[in-house]
Amino acid sequence: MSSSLSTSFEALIAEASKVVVDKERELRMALTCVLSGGHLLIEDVPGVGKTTLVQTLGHLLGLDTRRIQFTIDLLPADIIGTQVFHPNENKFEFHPGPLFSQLVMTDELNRASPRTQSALLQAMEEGEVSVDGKTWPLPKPFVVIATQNPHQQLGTFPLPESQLDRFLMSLDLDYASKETEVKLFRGEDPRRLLGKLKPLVSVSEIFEFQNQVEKVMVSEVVANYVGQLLRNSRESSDEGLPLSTRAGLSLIKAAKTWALLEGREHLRPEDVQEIFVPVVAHRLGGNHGLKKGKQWAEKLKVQTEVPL
Amino acid sequence: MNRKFYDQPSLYLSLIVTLALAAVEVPFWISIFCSLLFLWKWLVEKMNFGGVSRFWTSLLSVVLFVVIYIQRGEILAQIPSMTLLMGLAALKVMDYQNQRDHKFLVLFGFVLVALKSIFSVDLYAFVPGLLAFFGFWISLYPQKTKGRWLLISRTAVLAFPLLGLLFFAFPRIVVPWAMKRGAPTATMGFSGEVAPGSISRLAQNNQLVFRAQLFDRVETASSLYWRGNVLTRSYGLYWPFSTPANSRVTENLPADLLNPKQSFEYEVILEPGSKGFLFTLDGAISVSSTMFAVEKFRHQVYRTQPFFRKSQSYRARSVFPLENVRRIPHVLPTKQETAVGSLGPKSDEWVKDIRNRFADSKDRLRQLETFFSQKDFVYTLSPGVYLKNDLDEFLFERRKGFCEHFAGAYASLARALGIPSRVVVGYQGGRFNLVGNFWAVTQRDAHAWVEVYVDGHWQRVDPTEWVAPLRLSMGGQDFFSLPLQEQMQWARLKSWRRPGESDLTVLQALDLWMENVNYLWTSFILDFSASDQRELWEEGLKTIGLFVLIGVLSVVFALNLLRQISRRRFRKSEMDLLTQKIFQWGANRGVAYLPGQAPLSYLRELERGFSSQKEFFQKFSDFYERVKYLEEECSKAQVKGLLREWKQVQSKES
Amino acid sequence: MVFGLVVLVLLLMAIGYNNNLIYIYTFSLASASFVTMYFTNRNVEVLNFQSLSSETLFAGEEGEVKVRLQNSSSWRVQDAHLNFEKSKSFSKFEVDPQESPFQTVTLYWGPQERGYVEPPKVVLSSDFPIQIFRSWKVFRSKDPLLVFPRRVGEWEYPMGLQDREVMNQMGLFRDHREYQSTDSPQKMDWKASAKTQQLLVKNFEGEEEQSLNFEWRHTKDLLDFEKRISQLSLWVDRAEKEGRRYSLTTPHFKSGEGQGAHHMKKCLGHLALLSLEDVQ
Repeated sequence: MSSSLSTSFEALIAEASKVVVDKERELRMALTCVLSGGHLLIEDVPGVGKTTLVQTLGHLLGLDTRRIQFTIDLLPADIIGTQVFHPNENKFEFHPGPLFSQLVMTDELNRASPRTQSALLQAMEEGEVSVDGKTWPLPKPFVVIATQNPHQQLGTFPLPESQLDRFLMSLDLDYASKETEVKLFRGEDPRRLLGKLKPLVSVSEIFEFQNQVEKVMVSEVVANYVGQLLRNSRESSDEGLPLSTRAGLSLIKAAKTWALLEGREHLRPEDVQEIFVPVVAHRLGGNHGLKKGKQWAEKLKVQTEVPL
Repeated sequence: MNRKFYDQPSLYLSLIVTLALAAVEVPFWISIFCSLLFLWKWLVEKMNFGGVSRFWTSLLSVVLFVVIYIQRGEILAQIPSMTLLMGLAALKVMDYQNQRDHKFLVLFGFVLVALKSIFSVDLYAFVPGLLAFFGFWISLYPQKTKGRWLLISRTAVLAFPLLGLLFFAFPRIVVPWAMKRGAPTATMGFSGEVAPGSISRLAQNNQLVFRAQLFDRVETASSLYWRGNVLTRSYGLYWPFSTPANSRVTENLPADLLNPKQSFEYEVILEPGSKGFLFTLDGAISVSSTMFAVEKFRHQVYRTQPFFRKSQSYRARSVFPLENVRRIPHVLPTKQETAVGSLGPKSDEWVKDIRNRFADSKDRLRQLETFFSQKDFVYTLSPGVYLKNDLDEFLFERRKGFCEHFAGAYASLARALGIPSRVVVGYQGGRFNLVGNFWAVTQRDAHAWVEVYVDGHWQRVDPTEWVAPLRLSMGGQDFFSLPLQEQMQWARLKSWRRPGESDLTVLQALDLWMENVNYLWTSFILDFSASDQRELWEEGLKTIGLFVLIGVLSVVFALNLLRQISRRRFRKSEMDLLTQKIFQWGANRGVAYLPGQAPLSYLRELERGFSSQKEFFQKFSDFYERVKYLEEECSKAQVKGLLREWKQVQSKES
Repeated sequence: MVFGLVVLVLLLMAIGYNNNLIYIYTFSLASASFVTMYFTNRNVEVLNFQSLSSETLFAGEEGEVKVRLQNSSSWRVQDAHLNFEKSKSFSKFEVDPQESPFQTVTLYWGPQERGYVEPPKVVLSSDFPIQIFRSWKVFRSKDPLLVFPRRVGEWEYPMGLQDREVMNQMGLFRDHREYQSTDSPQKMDWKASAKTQQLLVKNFEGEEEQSLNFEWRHTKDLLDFEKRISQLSLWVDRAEKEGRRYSLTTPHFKSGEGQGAHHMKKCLGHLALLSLEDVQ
């Protein structure tokens, strides 16, 4: 039994690589994250192609994609939506905000005020929003890809450490390679291909895939390994925040998706290791930033013995 | 934080056992006192009754001290100190609240258990005592300790050889005051006199008196006459208690009598309460003990201090065969041994008649034998009351009696006939323990007989033999367990046996077994003295190397076994062992197994590094993945197969 | 002690009565104690000292010190106690090598001076398993711990600290709150105050973002050098606890604005090591 999606995974990557050049690894991670139904945090300097990445993913997965630029004056209602009074019918009608999309890209999350941030994060956590006491479910799948500026930049509100846990993964995109930049400058912009991309999978296929992810086998050895990783993170308090149980569950979830994308229906410690850094970097780093978090994650990975 | 006494099973069980063991030895009221306190504590803990403050328990301790002091007049002797300790332990139970109280109780327990063994070295007391002792030790380990029992067994395994070493190697210091202390009370025991009724009282009693090990000598019950005391003053039927004078004579024993062909050695383990008489077989030439001083008296009577509270052992040597008795130097009968007591008129008449008709002492003795065997005497333990001088009544009227009547009457008549004679009291026969090859003698075997001086030496005469040969052949223990009816009916038939009782019943066999274990234990514990220790070391030094080796080996073995048990949960499977072997092999050949590396990726590296063994590594990886990550069952045979293949890979390489 | 006495009493009894049973009891007790002593010793022996570290330690207060120990054997250490020399409070812990050979134990220490201070010796002891014998071992850490200055002084932030931020730019009016002495008069809502007879201050969206810039000169009315350091220490600590952004400036040091444990360590660490020459 093999998922139709896992077979077309390579095709998907190949297609996406045409648009998002030399970021194959990041692409794979982002895809894993989205297919796991988790939210993704991207930290980078502006202009390294994250918008392209998100749009490519949206196109290929056939998801309805929306982009929200966060600014300091953005109010929660601006993203969630508002109740509008219709005098004729004498009743309120809900006008959904841009959050009501399957794939939401929120640019510069840490520029928004904490209130707006927490409104978004709450929506991410619960999969629904409530306005004036009424609850409105968000579409499914609902995936947020948030970008934020590196910490040192002025005029930012860092996300509280507890809220960082809501993101399944974090990635940092690097500047494009010399060759890619040269190509770009010579007018070979791969982004023009974006419009020609056709969805390779349907939403129902994504749901089916997610069902199969649930069934991926987690052996005792692998579970022990994840447990050991968590325990070790708690032991060395000066190297990152301790990892919560939720972090452990996230690890398992992402690793399962990864394994299934590889065409396997059981976990190997290798799967956990592959997705380990993106899943825990932002959790370990907290306010110390993603860079530091990545370092600590790498160290933790090396220091934790894989059980035989 | 408050601890509860009744939450500590090993403590309270041990304490109760200890107090029960101790209670037997001390005044009764203290047991009631302790039981009440135990009950109270139980009510306090289980039913939320009010307790007592430490002030009151301290006050009670002082009161207890004063009461015991007033009662006994001293506090340091065994009984008062034991009583006091019991009371204090029970009061401590009332106080019991924390670890400190716990430790105190345990220490009380240790001392109490040890004190008990001053009173009794019996196996029946020792086994529960030892269990309680270990119970106390175990209770010291907090219940929440992980691997508690494993730790305890490890301690036991390590401590046991040490205990053995200490026991055998610790120098035994014999201090002058050793054994001198003892409570001046004797329990019922061997009767030293021949007074009407005294032996009959004993014969009701099945209590063990001593055990004797004759080593390889085979004897029948009827030939074993254990001499205790010799009585020399006659009052007719009554021979009062007297101890023979100390033997001041230095005897010149013919040297060859000590030769194994002329005499034999046996060992006796005496239970408390023998009034200090050491029982020997006829013709004893030497008695010695490593545990006490032996005093020798005239008439081959041996004694030690009359009062002791625990079993003691001694060795004795008697001549063999019996004819050798005459070769033992002896003193001639004294005036006392010929003095005639007052007989009755009928007896006087009978004596006069015999004296007139027969001049030779042997003829006269034969007449005596005829008198006892032909007149219909009845052997019974309940002949009715005789007064001290009722010789006539016994001989001519009632004619009912038992050994002491017959012996007393016979000896008195013999003296009247001019033959020096004396009454010997002791035990006859005993029950042979087939299992342990020793004789167990109980109070039922109590007996009295006569020795007459004929042909220049003392000879044994047992009038009971003519009246009740069954008592002698069967042994007192079996004879007196017969119904009275049968005792009287069959007494004269020497070889009569109760029909259908020739085989041992299971119960009897079990009894013999228990008796044997008890005997072995007592003899071992008693025997091991300073001199034995010296002997053991002198003898054993040659073989000691072997002993040490075996000891060390068994300890190592036991420890390993324990370790295996403790690791059972974590024990590496054969699969893991094989994996480790392969990884070690790889590491030895320069393919480092990096920290944090997953096994499968390392195997892939090995595959790349050693392409000639690619097939094996692939197979192993596949197997590993299925076992570890898919959790498929793997059979031992599969692992073994892989192991074989792995060995081939290695051999191919070399 | 009492235990040894009991063994001695038993031994004397054994000799006195020449009783082999008492000998057996005595020797059982002696050998079991001996083995147990070995176990007790092992319980301490297998533990090795790894490191001593602390997150935040303020002079004059008890703070957490973490001691990391390693169990280098397969022996499961139970009921071990760790305490600072001369300190009565101890931490109980266990190390099961089947789970992890490392154990971090928290101790409490109240240093009196700021700066790098050498912690007292650490005593590792255990009376496992029967709580009668005790074995111990003393460690000394080579690395001193950084102790932050005492946090004492005026609780309120210095006047006019927040003036540099322009209030009106901060965003939308949210609600009122009562006036505090450190609030800038510009933030007062005079109209509302007049209505309610309470001094009210306007709260704005994003006010938390207002950063506090502590400077050496804020403490110039305190004459004692140490007191000035302590005052700054208190403010930094308070700002951090309130989750505000803050900066610290001394004559030769500028921390820059920031927030979080790392930032606080930077500021307090500087104060901890500040000497008289640094501010002249």
